[in-house]
Amino acid sequence: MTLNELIKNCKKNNREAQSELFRRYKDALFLVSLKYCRNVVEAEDNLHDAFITIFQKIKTYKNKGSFEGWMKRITIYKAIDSYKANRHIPIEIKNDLLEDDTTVLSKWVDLPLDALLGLIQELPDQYRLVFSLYQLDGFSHKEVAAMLQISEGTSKSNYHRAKQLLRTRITDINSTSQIKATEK
Amino acid sequence: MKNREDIGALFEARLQDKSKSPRLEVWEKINETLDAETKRKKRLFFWWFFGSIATITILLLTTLTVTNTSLFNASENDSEEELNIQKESPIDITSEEATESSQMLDENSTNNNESNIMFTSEGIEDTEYSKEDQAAIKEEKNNNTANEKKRTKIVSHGSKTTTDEANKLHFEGEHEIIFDDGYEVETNYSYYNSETNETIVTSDKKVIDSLIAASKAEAKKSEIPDTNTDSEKRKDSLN
Repeated sequence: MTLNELIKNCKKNNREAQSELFRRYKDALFLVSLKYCRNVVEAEDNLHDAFITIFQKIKTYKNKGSFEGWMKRITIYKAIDSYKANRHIPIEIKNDLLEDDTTVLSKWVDLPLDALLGLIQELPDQYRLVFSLYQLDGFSHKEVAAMLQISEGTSKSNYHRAKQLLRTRITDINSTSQIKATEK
Repeated sequence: MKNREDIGALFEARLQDKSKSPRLEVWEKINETLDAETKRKKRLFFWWFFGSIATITILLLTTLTVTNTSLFNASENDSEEELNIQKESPIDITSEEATESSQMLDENSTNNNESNIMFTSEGIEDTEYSKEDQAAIKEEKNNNTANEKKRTKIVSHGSKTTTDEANKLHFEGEHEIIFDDGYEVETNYSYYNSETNETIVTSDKKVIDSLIAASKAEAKKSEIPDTNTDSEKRKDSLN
């Protein structure tokens, strides 16, 4: 079944077509959810909500632009909505503990996918969202600011601090592994 | 230092074109939610459809009931007005209504006066009455005028109730007077003969006219021999 046929059948609320659509795109969209949510459970909930919205709004899709991109945007907006609904007080980060340098050795980042995703999920909510939106999904700071209802400066600041935090965590992980290696 | 790169770019590169499968339970949950959504839509459609039908039916029934009730009330009122004499609670007469009623009564009394005038002009002028008879006529006239005054008085202070038969106006006061819109004034002519004490009452004016003409003729006849006898007496006395 071609993508157009699949979309056409999904517009008719055909359950088999909906199941096929889920099967085809669940992995890509789940990865998107994992980048924006705090853990796997939240990401699964977000994926559930995203697919329900996709099936409800698929009638409004006019075959313009990438269908996968349209679904990814829905998934991202679901995560942002969830963040806005449960917005927490931003965690105070002690600036003196953070270094301005945000570069690391490339081999330090050769970690399994789950470990990388885990590092992102550990970031404070707003930092994680800004980092994922700007760095991983290519939105501009202006767009990020509009989506999260923050200023552009805050978006830039949050992005920089997110990288500093990630660098600190990566450095810790590598120093620990080096110690273990020398011990052996 | 050559191998150092921006940590953001490194993360982006490592996560590019990667995917991760969710658990199978996610689709089961989605399936359940979609089923519930379908049921909710069906239920909404059911309530919307039958609710609309019920609303339309109720509106139609209400409209029909209201129409029938108003028609029934109208016909009931009409039949009551035509057939029944039903006393309702007294309604105060407005000044206009009182004026109209008094005017109507005035017309009635005028008609009565006309009959009285006829009675006097036709009956009294051409007839010689005894003193007792004249007193009786005066008393009757006084009574008539008193009744007229009383009627006017009652009308001005009375209250009105509508009766259905022939649209009668019913006035309540010291005395109950019924005024009928559908009345007919009957003019009677009376002839009183003082010699025989006979009174003839008739609605035909010609009968009275003929009686008056006959009595005049008799009077003339009786006067002619009397004058002859007087002249003869005078002649005799002169001789």
